[in-house]
Amino acid sequence: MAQTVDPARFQHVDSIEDRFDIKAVEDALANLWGYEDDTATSPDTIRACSVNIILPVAHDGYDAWQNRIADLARQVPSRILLLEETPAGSKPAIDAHVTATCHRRKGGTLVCSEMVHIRTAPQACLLLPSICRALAVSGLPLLHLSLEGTGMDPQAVHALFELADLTVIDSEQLAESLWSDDPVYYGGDLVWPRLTPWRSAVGHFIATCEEFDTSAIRHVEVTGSHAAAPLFAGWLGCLLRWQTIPGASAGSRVRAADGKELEISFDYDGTPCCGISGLTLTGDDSARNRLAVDMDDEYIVIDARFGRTHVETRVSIRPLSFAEEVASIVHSHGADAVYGQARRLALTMLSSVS
Amino acid sequence: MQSISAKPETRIDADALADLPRIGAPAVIVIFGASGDLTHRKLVPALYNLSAQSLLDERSQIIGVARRDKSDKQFRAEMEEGIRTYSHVAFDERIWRSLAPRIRYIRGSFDDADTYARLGACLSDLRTGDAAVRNRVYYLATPPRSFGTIVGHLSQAGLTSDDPDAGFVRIIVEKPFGHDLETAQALNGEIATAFREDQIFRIDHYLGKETVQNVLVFRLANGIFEPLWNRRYVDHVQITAAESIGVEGRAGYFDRAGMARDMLQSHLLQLLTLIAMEPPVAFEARAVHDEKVKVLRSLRLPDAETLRSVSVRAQYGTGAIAGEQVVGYCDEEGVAADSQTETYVAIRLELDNWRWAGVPFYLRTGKRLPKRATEVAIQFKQPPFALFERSGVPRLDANVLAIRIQPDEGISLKFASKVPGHDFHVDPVQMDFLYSRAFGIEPPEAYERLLMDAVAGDSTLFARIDEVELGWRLTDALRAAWQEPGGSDLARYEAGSWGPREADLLLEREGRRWRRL
Repeated sequence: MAQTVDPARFQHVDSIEDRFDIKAVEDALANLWGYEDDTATSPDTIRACSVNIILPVAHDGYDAWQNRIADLARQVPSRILLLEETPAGSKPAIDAHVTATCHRRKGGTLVCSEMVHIRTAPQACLLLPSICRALAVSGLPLLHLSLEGTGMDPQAVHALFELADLTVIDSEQLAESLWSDDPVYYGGDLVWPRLTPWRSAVGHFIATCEEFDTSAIRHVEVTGSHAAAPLFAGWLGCLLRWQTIPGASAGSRVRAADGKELEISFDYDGTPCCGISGLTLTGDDSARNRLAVDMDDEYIVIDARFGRTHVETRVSIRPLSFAEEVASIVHSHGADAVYGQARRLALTMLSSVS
Repeated sequence: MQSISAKPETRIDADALADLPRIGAPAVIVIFGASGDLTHRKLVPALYNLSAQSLLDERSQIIGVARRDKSDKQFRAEMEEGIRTYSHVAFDERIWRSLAPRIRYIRGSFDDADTYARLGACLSDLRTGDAAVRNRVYYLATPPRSFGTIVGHLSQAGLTSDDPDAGFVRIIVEKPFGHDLETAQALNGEIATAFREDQIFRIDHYLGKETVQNVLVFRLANGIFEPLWNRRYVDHVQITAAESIGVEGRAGYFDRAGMARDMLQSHLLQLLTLIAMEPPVAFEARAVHDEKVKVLRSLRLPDAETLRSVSVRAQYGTGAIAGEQVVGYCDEEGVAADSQTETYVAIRLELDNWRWAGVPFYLRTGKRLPKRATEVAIQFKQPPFALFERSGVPRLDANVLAIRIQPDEGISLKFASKVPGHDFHVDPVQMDFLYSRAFGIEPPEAYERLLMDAVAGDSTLFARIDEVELGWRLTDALRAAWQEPGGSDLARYEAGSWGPREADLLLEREGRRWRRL
C-alpha cells in the first residue's frame, strides 16, 4: 500500500530577495538526495520523474492542494512546479522552497517526486515562464494544469500556455458560455476522464447487448453538468455513428446511421459525480424501446426495455480521483482521438440548438 | 460486371470504446477445486480486484465447486479473508457487498454426476431474470488428473454447449499441462472431446506479468532496437529465473516433476519465444501464437550425447541465503533422502533460423539461489575494431540490454563511457528504466489480466496446444538424455550460491560468463 512520507523531513528552504537564484534551487534539490537517514535500515529511495507539471494556485492555496498534490505525485511521478501568487508588494517578491513527496511501494521502496514551491508577487510573475523553463527536467514533457483562476499577469499566463507541451483544464470549472472550439480544450480536459465510469458502463452495455436496437432510438436526453453532458452526448454519437444535421432549429437534431432523425436535449443540473446524472434513449414507442441510465447512490443503474425484454443491471461507480484524471491525460499524451471527435460532434450539436 | 458490396454497417463504432478498459461480457465463472490455495490466494482476490476497478461485469457470478462441506456463507467468509489478506486493492465493504451475493458454493465430488446436475440447475437459474447470465467460464484449479473427469461430466450434463442461445463457454486450465508430450496430448485429447481449441485457455502466469507483456512492446513499439535484434549484432542471450525459496511444502509435486518440467518447459521457453519471435502481422492471439510456434519449431534438438554436453542438472545442498541457514534438498520435508530430482537446470539452446543462427541462448533456473530474480539479458557483440587499445584501454565490456521481469521491474542498457579526468579510462555505465520511477501505479497482478482476458475471449496471453507440445518435445528429449545409462550426473551446489561450477563451465568454455544478478 502506498503511504505518504512526511514531506517536512526533506524540506530545505531557500529564499531569494527580488531575484531568482536558479542554482540555489537546483542545489537544494540535489541536497534532498544527499540526506542521511538516521534509522538503522534505510529503504531504497528512488528519485522519480516522468513528467514536469506546472500548477499555478491562488494565494494561500497550497494547503487546499496539498493532499491532491501528494496523490498526484503517487500516480504520476513528476517534478511539480507549484506557482503560488502572493499579494502585490509582498517581500520578497519571489521565494522558493523545495520538498519531496514520497510513497512507499510494495517491497519497501520509497518513490519520491520533487516539488519546487515558488511564491511570486505580481511584480515578479513575468519571471515565471523562464524559471519554469530552467527548472523543468530535460527530455520530459511539460504539463500545465490550468485549473483555477489566479491573479497572474495575462502575459505570464499566455507564456505558460505557450511553454507547455500540454495544457490541462477542467471545463466544469469554467462558465457555461465557454463551451467552445478553442484548441486549448482539445489538449486535455479533466471532464473527459471524469466521464470514464459512465462511458464504460453505457458503452459496455450497448456493446454486449446486441438485442437493444440502437437504430430505433429517436430521442436522447442527457442530464449532467454543462461541460460533461454535451461531451458525453458527443461520445455517444461517435459510438452510435450519428451525424449532425446542419441548420436544425429545434433541439439538437442528429441523424442516426440508418438516416432517420433523432432529437437530443440536455438538462443541466450542476456538477454531479462523474459529470452525468442521467441518460435516456427512447424509440418512438418508449414503452417498448427505452434505455434509461440513472445514478443511485454509488451505482449506475441501467434499465433497458426492448420488445418484450427487460434488462436491469447496476454498475458500481468508481469516480476517478483528481490524480487519476490527470494520469489518464498524461498517458494518452493529450492526443485521444476519441475525445477530439466527441468534442467536435458535441459542439455541432450545441450550435444547432438555437 | 460484378459489383463489390459495401461493407455492412455495424451497430457501433468500436473505436469509440478503444480508450476504455475492456470489460468482458457477463459470465458465470465456475471454479473447480475452489477449496484450494489458488482460489483463496489468487483467483478470488483477482476477481475482487477486477470488480473494484469496474472491470468485471456486475452481472458476473462466481461458483466454487469442491469436495469439502461448506455453505455459501462459509465459502464467502473464506473468500473475504483471502481478499483481505492477498488483494493488492484495499478491502472496500461496498465492493464486497456487491460481489459477495454473487458468490456461491456447490459441494460435490468431481466424479459424481449429481455434482454436475446441481451445477446445471444453478446455471439454469442464473440464465433467467433481469440479470440473466448465459456465458460460462470453467476454471480447473485442480490437479491435471481430474481434468478428464470434470470435462467428461460437464459434457454429459450438457454444460459445454456454446450454441448462440447458450452463450459462450470457455475452460481455463493451469500448468503443468501434462508432465511430458504423451500426457499433454492425452490431456488435451480429453479436453478436446468437449471443447474446441479456441475455447481452451492454458495459463502460464508469467505471460500475465506486466513486464513480460512489455517485451513485445519494447521490441516492436520502438524503432531503434529491432534492427539490432539478430545474429549480426547479438552475441548471446541469457534467460534466468532464479528462486531463493525451496520447495515450500510442494515436495509431493516437485519431487516428481523437477525443475526442467516445472520451469524450463513453461516459463523459460515462453520468455525465449517472446525474445526470439518475428514481429506478428497483427497484435492478436492467432498471429502472436503462430510466431511463437515458429520459434519453438526452429529449436535445434541435438542427439542425446550433445544434449547432455549442453545441459547441466544439479541439486542444492545446505547453505545460507540472506543470512539464514537452510537445509539441503534431500533434507526438506517430504523429499526422499536419495532423491535425484534436479533443483537447478542450465541449458544452451540454438535456433535454426535466419534471425538467430549461431546465437546461443543460455537458460538457467534454480531453487535456493541467492535471490529471487527473473531476467532476460541480450549481450551484443563487441565493436569490430578496438579503437581505444592504443590509449591503454583494455577490452571493453559488451553492451547488455537487460529486461528485469521481477523484482525491480524495468529495463537497463549497459554501455561504455569515458571516466572524467585527465587519464583515458573507460568504464561501463548503466542507463535504467524502472517501472516504479516512470509509473506511479502498481502494475496489476498477473491473474487479474489473465482472468479478464479469458472472460473477454482473448487468448494472446495463454499457451496454445502446439506451443505446449513443442515445449514438451524439448524437455522430454532432455530428460531422456539425462536418464540414459551413463547419462548426466546430478551436480551439487550450495544453497545461496548461483549454481554448480558445471553451469559456469557451460559458458566459460565459449569465452562467456553468466551475468551477476
